[in-house]
Amino acid sequence: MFVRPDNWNEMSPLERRSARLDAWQNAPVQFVNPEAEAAYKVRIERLRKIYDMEPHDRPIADPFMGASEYIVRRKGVQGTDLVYNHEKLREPLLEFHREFQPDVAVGVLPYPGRSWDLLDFKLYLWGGQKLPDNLVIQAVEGEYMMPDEYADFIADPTAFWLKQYLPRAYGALAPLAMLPDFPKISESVDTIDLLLPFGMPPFQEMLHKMMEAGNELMKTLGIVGQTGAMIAAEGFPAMGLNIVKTPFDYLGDTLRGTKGILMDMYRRPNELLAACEAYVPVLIKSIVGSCDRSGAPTAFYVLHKGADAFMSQAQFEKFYWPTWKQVMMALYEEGIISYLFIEGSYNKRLENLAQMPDKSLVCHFDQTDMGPVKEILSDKFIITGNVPASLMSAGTTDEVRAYCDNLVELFEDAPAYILAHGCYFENTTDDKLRAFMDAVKK
Amino acid sequence: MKPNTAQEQFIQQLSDLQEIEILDAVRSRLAENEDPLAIIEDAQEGMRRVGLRYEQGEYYLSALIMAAEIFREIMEIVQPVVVETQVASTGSGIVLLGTVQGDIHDIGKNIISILASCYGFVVHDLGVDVPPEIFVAQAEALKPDLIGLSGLITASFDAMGQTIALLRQVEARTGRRMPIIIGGSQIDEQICSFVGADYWVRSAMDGILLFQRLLPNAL
Repeated sequence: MFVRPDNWNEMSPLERRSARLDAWQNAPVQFVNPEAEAAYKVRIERLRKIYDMEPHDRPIADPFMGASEYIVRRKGVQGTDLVYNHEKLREPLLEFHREFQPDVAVGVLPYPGRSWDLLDFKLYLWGGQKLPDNLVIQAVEGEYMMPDEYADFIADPTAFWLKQYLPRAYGALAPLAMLPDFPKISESVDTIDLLLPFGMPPFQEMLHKMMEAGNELMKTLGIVGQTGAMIAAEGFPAMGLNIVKTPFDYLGDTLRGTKGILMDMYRRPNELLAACEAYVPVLIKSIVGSCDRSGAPTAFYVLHKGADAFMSQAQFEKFYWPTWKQVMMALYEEGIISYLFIEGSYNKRLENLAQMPDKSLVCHFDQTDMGPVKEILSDKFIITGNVPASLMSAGTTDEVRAYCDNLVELFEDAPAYILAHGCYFENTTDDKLRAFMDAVKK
Repeated sequence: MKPNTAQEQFIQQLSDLQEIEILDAVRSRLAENEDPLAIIEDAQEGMRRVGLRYEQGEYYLSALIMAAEIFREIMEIVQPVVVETQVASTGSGIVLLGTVQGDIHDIGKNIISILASCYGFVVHDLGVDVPPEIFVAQAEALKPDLIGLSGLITASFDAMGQTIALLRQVEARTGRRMPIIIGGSQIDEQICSFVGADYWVRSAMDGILLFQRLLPNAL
């Protein structure tokens, strides 16, 4: 939980940024021994200097965005265990940290499989459900907002989310469509409208399921949270990430689907633009609120449809960038760093990113050409990523070592570089992972 | 036959992704009892121009998806008035496509499927999450000139490898060579070699260009 200091309104964006990073850096940890505490302080101080783009002894290697699944799979954990059996992840994770001594903590995302089952979650398939046990999750492309519903969304995104999207995304939440329009609840008799659905058997059944799913979620979070605390206690600080998307990607990934939203750029451009605009204040409030609650200093964008392959530069600058930039600028004002996990390539978008204020971004690249990244962005932002998943999966240890050495050398004189993978992968070897992690220690 | 102005305008409208105008034009041409096959051929030419504009860096995935949707709409209008056998390909070759087992992603595969049809290939699309045995059975039954395996996630690499190993057994058994192409956003030369494929592509249009290069009779 981040608590704003009394002089918050007088602070500059960078002072607010420092306040959030201070709170993250000084969050209490119960260490297992003094050695672990000392190691933690060295690691988090190095990471803090990277976040602040100040001189530090060496870059760090972050295996989380890529190797986190392998780290548990190497000890026999299946994809389905990442969804249903979170207690099975603890020992493999702790063993990895003890054996590999990473610069930062590597956790796994707490996929709540039992909650998904109870709520009939439709946006994903997962291992142990409809996917084989060796797989984790895969998104199901679909239209969860029909083309003729743009007006509803634009008028009130939150109401749309609550009463139209959630009933479609979770089969068990269909009764949410019965909820009233809250802004009209005013007069004495309006209490009837407010409570009527809550008296209906289908709505009550839904509430019971939600409570059951909530209880399952708390079990999952309890196990995963405890594992995270144990990793920290042994000396490994977490990066402090809070997952979000751009307005366009929320609309595209979650509501309209890839095909739907890309065609909307041609068929209903004005509605699409208005929907992205309507999203901006909602998203800003939501992201700031979740960063405050979690204490995470960064908003971690999973970026999809703005990549080079999806749309032209003109389409990017018309549909994708303006509202995203508005959100990022608002977060910057709030002292929140935008961490951009850029899937695919962004070779044509680098000048757009360069418009953002210094230190406002961490730019994590997948397949983007890192030469221009160095030239255009590395003096302004923290740079990370670009070790290919294909290399980790199919390359040799020597090839991994050479690739990582080249990246470290390329960014040797950059203020802040984090060696990281470009994308998740399931399979590699301990030797390749060690070669990756050792590249920053030479 | 030398294109007349109306025909050229029709092709250009599709190439410019003018959905309403082109669909109106299709209906008008049908109302005038024009040969539906000629409409389809013009639409295919329009799609090929879309492909060219993609190659030239003017169009991106968004335009390919929009073009594929317009083409689908054209076919939906034209198909009821044309005997299915008449729409047979002009014979660029037979392509067997599918997303490998364990992967349910289909956008790239679907685009390549429609584009390949426009370039005169007969496409047999097996869908998503296709087990290796189904690829093998269909490869034996359909005798394709090319096989395309799609996979977006890195977990698909293993399924690609298993599928290709079985397809190589078919080749050994029948003596019939079937070039195997893998496609996906995380695919590269290293993965191509790892799974034992012959070629790799990251975009649908690159796939079409490769199909054309591999099959000399292609449009």
